Amino acid sequence: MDAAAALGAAQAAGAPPPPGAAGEQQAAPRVERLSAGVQQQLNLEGMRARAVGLYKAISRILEDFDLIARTNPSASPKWYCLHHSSAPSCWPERILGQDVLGQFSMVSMELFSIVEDIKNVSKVFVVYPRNVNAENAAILPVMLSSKLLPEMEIEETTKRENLLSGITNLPVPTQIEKLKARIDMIGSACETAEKVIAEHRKSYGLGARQGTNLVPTLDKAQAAKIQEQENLLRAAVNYGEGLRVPGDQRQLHSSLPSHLVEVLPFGDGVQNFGDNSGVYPKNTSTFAPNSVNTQGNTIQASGGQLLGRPAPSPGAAGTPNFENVSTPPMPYANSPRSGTNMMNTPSPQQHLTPQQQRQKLMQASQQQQLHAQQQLRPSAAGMLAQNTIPQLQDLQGQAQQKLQVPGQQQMQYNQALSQQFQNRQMQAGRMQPGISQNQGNQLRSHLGQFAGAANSAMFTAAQASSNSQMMANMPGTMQSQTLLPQMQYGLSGGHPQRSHPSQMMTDQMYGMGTTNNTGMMGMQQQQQGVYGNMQAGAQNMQQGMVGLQNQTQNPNFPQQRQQNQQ
Amino acid sequence: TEAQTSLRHAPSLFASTPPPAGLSCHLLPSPHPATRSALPVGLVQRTCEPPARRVLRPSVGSPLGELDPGFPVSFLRSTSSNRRRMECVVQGIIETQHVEALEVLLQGLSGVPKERVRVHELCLKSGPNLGVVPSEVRLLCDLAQSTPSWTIRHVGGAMRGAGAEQISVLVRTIVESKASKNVLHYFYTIGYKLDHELLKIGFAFRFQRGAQITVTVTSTNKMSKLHATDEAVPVTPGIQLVEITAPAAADNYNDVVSAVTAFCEYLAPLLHLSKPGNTTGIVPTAGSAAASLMSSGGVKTL
Repeated sequence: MDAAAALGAAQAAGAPPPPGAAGEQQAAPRVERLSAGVQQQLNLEGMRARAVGLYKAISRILEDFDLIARTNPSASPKWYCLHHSSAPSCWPERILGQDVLGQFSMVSMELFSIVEDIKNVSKVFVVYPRNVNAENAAILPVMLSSKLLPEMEIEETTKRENLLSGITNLPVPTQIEKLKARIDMIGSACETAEKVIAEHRKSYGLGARQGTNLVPTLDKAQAAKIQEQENLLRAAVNYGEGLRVPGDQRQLHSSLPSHLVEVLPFGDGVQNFGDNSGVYPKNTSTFAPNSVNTQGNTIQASGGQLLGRPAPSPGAAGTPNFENVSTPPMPYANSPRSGTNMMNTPSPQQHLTPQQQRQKLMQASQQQQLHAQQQLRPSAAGMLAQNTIPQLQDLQGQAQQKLQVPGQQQMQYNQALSQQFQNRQMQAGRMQPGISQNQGNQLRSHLGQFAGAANSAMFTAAQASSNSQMMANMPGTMQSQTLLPQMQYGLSGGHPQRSHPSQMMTDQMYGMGTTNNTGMMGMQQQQQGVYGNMQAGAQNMQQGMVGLQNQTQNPNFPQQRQQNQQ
Repeated sequence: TEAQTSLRHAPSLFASTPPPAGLSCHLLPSPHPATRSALPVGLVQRTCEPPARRVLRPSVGSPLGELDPGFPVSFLRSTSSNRRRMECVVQGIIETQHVEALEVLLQGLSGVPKERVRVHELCLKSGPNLGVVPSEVRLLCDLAQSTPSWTIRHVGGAMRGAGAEQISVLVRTIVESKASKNVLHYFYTIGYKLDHELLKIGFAFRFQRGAQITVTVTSTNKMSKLHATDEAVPVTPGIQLVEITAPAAADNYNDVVSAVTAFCEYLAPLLHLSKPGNTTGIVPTAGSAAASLMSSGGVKTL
């Protein structure tokens, strides 16, 4: 207590004599001095100087605040830099704010260092209670340890007076009750305030501030229902499930919508017969459409059976094509949002930037290329032999059907080209087996296109059987501009002497390729030796032919051959 | 055979519609010198509106080489799309209650006005005369315009392989072409049958954002009666389909894929998007995201 009082006196009054020694001297007649070491360590004079300086700095700041408060009562010193406030009235505030902030750190550091220094030597001083008797001896240590500083004591008394100002005259239990009531009132007010804030937060979608993400989770039943609906919808849109009306119910009950009225002269019924009589000349109306209709109806009835097969629909066959997506690393094209992070902040791709993705893709495609090229050489013939039969019988020739429509278009287009181009194609066709491996890169893109067109077996077979089949497909689908350079490259890079042994290969491949309609597309412009094989595979050709041709096709071959031999 | 007969006697369908400006018709066949006059005159002259009428007949017994004049329906394609045979596509579902919010979001992201979509999609499958395995062709009739326009669409197989597995967007070959309105009749004639039909009603946004992206939000409707588009009911009333497509070519599909996926990120609070074969479920944040989109207090002063 003595030391505290002494130090307090040193700070407040700034008495010159060294307080420790002075206090001791005044209290006891004996002249006692602090040991020289402690005195040096404590360095009371220096400490006092620092304390005085700190005191002055703080008082100066307080004076400035008072000045502002007096001159501009409505203003409050703004604690942040106001770059945009240019009014002169707030300049002192602005400047003061910055100033005070700058000085605040120094002030606090100074105070902290002073306190630290005093702590170092406080063990030398002991609080010596003056008034000890039997009564308070037991609790004296507790009281000492929790003794408030004088300022704090004053504070507490004032607060107590404020609190109990109205009820000090009442007995203590009543005071307690009143205080409890006051506490409850304040508590309930806080709760209602919290509720209001939470409601507003919800309505504005801000979410809880505490960091707990209130993501509404669907219960299982709801999620299952939605999943079911989603499957229905996706199946309907992509594959047409659930939309097929059985043949017997396909009668046209009501009139056709306007966009179909002109298009379907007779629909599936005869109700619109009269409407379209103006479209068709009457002498033919009875003839042609009836045949179409009856044919359509009968085939429709059997079409149901045809469509019942699992393989045929491209959607169903698309599922083997989709096999790679059964377990994709990224199930969603966009990363799922988990919390309250709302709009317009796209989260990055899962861990691949687009560049990295591209690199990965390129790597993957390069690996594919290498693999395919490795397959190019060995056992090409073996695969051919193996695949000829399955290809013929296996009705996985989706490629032919898929490329029917574009093939038709391409046939037209190619016919429009010059004869020279056809010749060039023919020669290039011969060169195709001899194409070096480094052309595989160029073909990769085309193979990528056809990857979808052919199923896996055919694809690998086509890869293994060298690129000639794919090259055969290329004229069917590529435009002349892209085709010519490659053809020329094939010409230059090819080995003429290989044409003969590979001739057999191409023949076999074209035999295999008869099931592939696109092979047909290219064949018409290429090697005439193929047609010998085509005769043998005429049956398959029939199957592979686009419906624009009629069933008997052998008579057409000589015509084809003549054309291509020009 | 019956097919042959029907081909012979099919009314000569035509290349009727003159090409719109800006499109070049590579495929319009040159008029075929009528060396074969096997068809009666009455069948040849089919009356249709446009003056630029080309009379074409399917030539009986014509081999592959002469298919050109036998092509009765015009297919018009633009030159720029010659190499673009692929498309990148993702699909997702959204609850019908949130469709408005999605529209608001798309409007903001795209900056283009929305287009109404009302498409009658007829899916045709080829008959047995065209091969053992049927092929599928989709005819889309756009009913949103005053005059319906028809499009042929053939969906090819998806890109496969390790590279395709890495990307979350489906890349598939596609062939699309505008066609004259006789296309349906033509396909019926050559032996295609109607497999199923559906009516898609909704809206779409087309814009350029790294790639030409089209976002379509439609309610898929089915018709219990044949071709009764006025009586279509939704397949799933509570859920609508969101489809994002972008045309691509074999050499630039990587860029298109990254553009599409980047755009999909913006839609993540409202819906999940994935390849058409995968199911996604709905997004739990959709409700609050939709609420914040629809609330007029979106422009609060902080």
